[in-house]
Amino acid sequence: MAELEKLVRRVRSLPPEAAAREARAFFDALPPGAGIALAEGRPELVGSLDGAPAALRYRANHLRLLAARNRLRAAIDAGTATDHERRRLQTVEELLTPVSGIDVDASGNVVKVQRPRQFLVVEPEGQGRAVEVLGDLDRARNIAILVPGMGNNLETLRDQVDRADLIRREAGPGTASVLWLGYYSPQGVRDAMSSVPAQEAGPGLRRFTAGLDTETLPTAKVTLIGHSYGSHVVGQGLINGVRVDRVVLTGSPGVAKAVNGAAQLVPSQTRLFVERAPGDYVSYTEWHGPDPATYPDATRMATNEPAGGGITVQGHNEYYRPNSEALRNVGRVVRGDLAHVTTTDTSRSAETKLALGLSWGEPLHSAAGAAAKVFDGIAALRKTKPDRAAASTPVPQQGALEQATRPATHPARTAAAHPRRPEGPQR
Amino acid sequence: MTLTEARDFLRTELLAVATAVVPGQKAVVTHDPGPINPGALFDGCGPATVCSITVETGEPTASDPAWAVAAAAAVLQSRGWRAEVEPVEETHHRVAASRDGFEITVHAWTTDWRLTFTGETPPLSDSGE
Repeated sequence: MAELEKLVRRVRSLPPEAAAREARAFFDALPPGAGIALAEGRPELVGSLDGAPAALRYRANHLRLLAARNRLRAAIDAGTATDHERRRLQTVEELLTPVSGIDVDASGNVVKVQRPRQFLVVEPEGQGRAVEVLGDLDRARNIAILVPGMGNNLETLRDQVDRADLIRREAGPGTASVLWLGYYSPQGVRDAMSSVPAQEAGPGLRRFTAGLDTETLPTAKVTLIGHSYGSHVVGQGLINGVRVDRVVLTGSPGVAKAVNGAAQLVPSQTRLFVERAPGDYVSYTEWHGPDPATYPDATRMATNEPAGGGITVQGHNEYYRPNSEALRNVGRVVRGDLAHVTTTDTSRSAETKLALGLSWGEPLHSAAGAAAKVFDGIAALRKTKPDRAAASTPVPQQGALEQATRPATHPARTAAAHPRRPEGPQR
Repeated sequence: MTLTEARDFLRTELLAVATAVVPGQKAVVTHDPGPINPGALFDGCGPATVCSITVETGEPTASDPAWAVAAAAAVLQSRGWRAEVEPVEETHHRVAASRDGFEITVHAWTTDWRLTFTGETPPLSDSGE
């Protein structure tokens, strides 16, 4: 145990890749049975240690959840539990519920199999963080790491994981999905206006991917996917040295103020794929930097079927709808079927043209400082109606639109500070 | 229709289609977590308005993905769904089906014997709104 503590202290000061390799070497050198003993004896150290074998981290984090469940039950039994603790107990019990799959028995019959959920990180206290793996990480040919946006915490894990599972289904056999809520997601619009949570997350994402490299097949292809504020986190991760094979950004409010091209984010061998749906007001604001959909050296994927028909994806909230072209393209990228990726080059103006020929996309873009009001208005609309159209179709309230077209009062970027390039992919 | 009723309907449909396509095996519900917020990747604070379910089955010794998706589309159509077999993409065979706001995707692969039937309800609340 003392050696483990020394290792944890030592690797903190190392570059992420060296730290992960050293942690892996430490566990590889242990005699049989010693690794699991460490995971069970010091789960708080092994559970989140990047470079430690995934199987040990799964076991350690399972034990952390069991301990959390016992603590929360004791608080409820003692009559001291808060409402948050009661909700958290429900969440922890859900996270301890096994997941199902299918296999074949000796007679050739398809049978249901169950196994514990696989957490590479779990923090059951406070807002909560978690990193969950769907599939077999050590055997996967393709790995998708999905970074969610604002408003997420341990209580919303079910929703995030569901979308990660959709991506895994789209990408097909041999794919593992990783839901990376390894950062403190901003819990509201005001917090999401700040880059600080993303900047704090970037180094953690690099440590995580460095640890992942010690676990996966050398030939495995890793795709990093970020939606909304999650794309800002992905961008900060890339700026901090995260290296993967492919990157997908959907509905991005920008990744960094000074970044206006893929070459500033990823090495030349890494492809950057971007999706911006018609009417995506969050992308139009370019809150955290130029919209990646306007990068000249990114591949701008279609969100709707080029020939028309099919599921219509509009606004900021529908990229991951089943049967949508937006989701299919994400799956194609993850499985490396790039020949079937469909593209688009529509402009903001064309995407938001109203009946009278006026566009609201450009005014919104040029008034990014006031766009918070639009964001608030739409968020309020979304929360009052479960209807899909109301949830996602960008219908800014009248007052909000007026605000958006007034001179910005927020210390926003100016057009001069971020000269625009013509929209459309060049790759 | 309430969200609970929609979830039950979707699960029944997925199991019925999977069983019709592979009658010699028992189809398994492998994912049915209950109501979820489909916009969680944007904003986790949003309401849980849909249910998402996956059923898996397959014939381990005699898989034929092209036949399987054709059969799945036919069964879905016979049950009132608008279903289309999509063009094959490398190893990927797919059916896309919809009905009254419900969506189903059937995936089959030349590299795997498993068939997955994934569906999602339309956005609803449990009061039926």
